[in-house]
Amino acid sequence: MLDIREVLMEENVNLELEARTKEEVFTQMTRMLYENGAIREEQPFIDELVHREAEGVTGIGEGIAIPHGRSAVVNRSVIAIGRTRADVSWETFDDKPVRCIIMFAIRDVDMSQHIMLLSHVAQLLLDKDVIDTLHHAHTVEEIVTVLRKEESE
Amino acid sequence: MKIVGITACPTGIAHTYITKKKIIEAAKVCGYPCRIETQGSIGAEDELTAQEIAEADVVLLAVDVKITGEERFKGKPVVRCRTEDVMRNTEGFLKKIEATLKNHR
Repeated sequence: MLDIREVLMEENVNLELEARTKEEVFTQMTRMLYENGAIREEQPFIDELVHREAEGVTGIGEGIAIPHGRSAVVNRSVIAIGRTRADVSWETFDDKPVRCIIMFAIRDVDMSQHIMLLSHVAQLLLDKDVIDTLHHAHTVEEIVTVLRKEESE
Repeated sequence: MKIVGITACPTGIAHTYITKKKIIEAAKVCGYPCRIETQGSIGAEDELTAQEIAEADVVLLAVDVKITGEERFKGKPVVRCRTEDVMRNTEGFLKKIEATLKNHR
């Protein structure tokens, strides 16, 4: 399988997000993806995120949410990670507020290995070590390391 | 209780696979043999065999979208729900299915 670095780049991680609401999370993380060239327009991508939220809960528990958007404005399928300083109100399976957001930007037509990698990372988000690291890591490297470790197991 | 099932979600990237993992882990805890097929954006994976379906006590369809190959389950007890119904309390959900099956025997 491809390495996690193929879809998780350092520039798409912000461990000190100022956002306080879901809308601010969407705006700020979409801006990050735009500035780093993963998407070429912001509003259509935000619209897709909002559309997907309406289809079902993306707060998977333990303070983690996985909003995702599949859109023609995505240049390359990637993962962005945002961690907020404050609790963010979000619909979740365990009714706990969200602090860590794993956002999936998915190219409109993508049958590549990147998609398999995104799906694989999604499953890892149930793992206790991964959850702990996402909430407490100081560097992107720590996150990459735990995702790689779980991947190889 | 032997379980076979399918997971599928609108985008076919995340919930499909997370739900599968949750079902498999919960089934393991409860001692239920279990096989789950995913129908995600890259198509069907871990497809169920005719024999697995024949041997199953129940078919669990945790799906938010239309799936393919449902005719394979004709005549079997089928539990259909959304992925989020299973995600909330997976063990409890599986145990409830078992209780319902027993009552129908």
